Amino acid sequence: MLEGVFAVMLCEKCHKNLATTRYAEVVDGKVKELHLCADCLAKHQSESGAGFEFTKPVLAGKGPREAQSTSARPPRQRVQRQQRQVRCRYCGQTLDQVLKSGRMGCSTCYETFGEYLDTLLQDLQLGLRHRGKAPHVDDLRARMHADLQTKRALLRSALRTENYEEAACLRDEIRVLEQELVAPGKDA
Amino acid sequence: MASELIDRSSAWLSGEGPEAAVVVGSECSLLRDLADFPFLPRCSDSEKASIEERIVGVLTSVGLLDEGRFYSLASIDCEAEAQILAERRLVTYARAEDIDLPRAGPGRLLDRPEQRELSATPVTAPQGVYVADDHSMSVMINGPEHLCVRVLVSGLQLQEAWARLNMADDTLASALDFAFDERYGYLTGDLAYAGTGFRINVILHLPALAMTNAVHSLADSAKTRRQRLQGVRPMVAVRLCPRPVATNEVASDSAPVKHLVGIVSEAIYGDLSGALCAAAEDARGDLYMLSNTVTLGVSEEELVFDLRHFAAEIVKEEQQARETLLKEGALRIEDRVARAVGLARSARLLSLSEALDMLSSIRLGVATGLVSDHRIVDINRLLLDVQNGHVRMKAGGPCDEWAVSRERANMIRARFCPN
Repeated sequence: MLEGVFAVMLCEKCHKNLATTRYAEVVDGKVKELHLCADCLAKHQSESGAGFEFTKPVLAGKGPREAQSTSARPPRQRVQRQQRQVRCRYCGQTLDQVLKSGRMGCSTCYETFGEYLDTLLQDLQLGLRHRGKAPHVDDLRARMHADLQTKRALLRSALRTENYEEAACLRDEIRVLEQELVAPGKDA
Repeated sequence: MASELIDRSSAWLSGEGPEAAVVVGSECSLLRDLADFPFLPRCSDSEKASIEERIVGVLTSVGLLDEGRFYSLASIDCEAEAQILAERRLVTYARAEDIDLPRAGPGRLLDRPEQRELSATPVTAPQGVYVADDHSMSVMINGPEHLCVRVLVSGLQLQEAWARLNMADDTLASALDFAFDERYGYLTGDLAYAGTGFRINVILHLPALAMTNAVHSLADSAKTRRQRLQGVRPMVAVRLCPRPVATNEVASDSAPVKHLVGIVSEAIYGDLSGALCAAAEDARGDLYMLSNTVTLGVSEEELVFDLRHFAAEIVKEEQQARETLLKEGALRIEDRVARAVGLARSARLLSLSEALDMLSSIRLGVATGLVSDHRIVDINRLLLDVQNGHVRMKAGGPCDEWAVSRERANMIRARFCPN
């Protein structure tokens, strides 16, 4: 079994020398990869003129994310591989998926990936702290929510201790509260 | 149904707002997600149904859109409505490139075995939308986030649009619990909208600046202000929706059959994030869209202020360029307008791009007084009527690209020919 032997490739341009570099070009969101020898790499870079710089920031791309100046590496590369496997406990989204797609899985992801978020957000946004409006939290609704949390916790422990009568009462109370939160004043 | 949609005129195209000679319309959107559910890519079908039920219930009970209608867009039978709503900027489509579907021509259904893997792809087009009767407001459900409220106004009226949107948001927040965090603001699936979840788009008509090649420097200037000026042009847009399962296909509990169909159409005006816009130099019909690019670290009022001011600067430059062109090159503009009117009166086939360019010249003619028997509002409405969904509806049914070109040309000839 050939373990630990990596493939030997010829340069894809001249087909004479060994390929020493993997050169990837991103054009209009599509990645083109070439395996080149040192000579062809130098020739290719001088011909295309783009080299490693962004000559023009990409506008017609994935929404508002712009290619800013080149000093920063892409966000995904700034996070180590093991850290990218961190998973949100509520929805199962991994940090790797977030970094690739720019999308979170649920509200809990913001808590789970908090420390890595700044890496992503600094490329996308102006600041890292919200300065706009906040939802007007009704005191009554806040209390109902807190009540709901308590009752759910009590239901869990009632089920655990096999106290089914109490569990049934709690379940009915929870249902009423949820209805009230969803459709306020309907059954008043 | 779809035909009644066509008959209503969109208030935001009335041509009556401030700076209407240059600004076609402005639009403000707010993206919100409910706290009790995961974001859309991680939502199961039953969760999506619950979200829709909850939001529709709240919309009815708070009376937000007392004069409005709910359109369910979940099935492919609703394609005609979906396309018309997208063309009127009331719902969003996704760019074909973002969805990674094999290429197909406009107006074709894609349904191949490899499409079944699409269930993992985020679906960005809404599954249902509540639309005000005058088409000045829409509430999109389950696309691009749980909830997207949008207000459309004529001309440059960002403060008024924001005031109306803010009130709608407060009304909804009293009955729905939005995902919100002290530090990151409103939590959305797409990180590009976290914070305020606020997107402003201003649609501008800049023929004089395009003629004098001044748009590129404006686009660069926009970038320094954290804004973006892009060209609007017809592009391939995609709407995904579930395909009805055929009778011989059986779904088991362990492996539910998920079929998603990509409906492909060529459109302008079908986007949220400017996804159907291209670089400024690729604009057709001299139409451009100015948008904000950041939503976090800045307040909604600041965003409105910044965009309003830059848009006003652009309007001033366009008007000055028009005056200069009339003084120094009046013949050039007269020739351009006259050719456009000639085309309008005689063409037998018109593609969408040609129609947009032609309407741009005529709109310039109206704004500069060279064309006197049409008004800005007529041209604005034609900008809608020439789009594929509208033409197909007027033609009375599905038709191929030739038929659409022919019907479009017929409609334009009827409007511009002297009686």
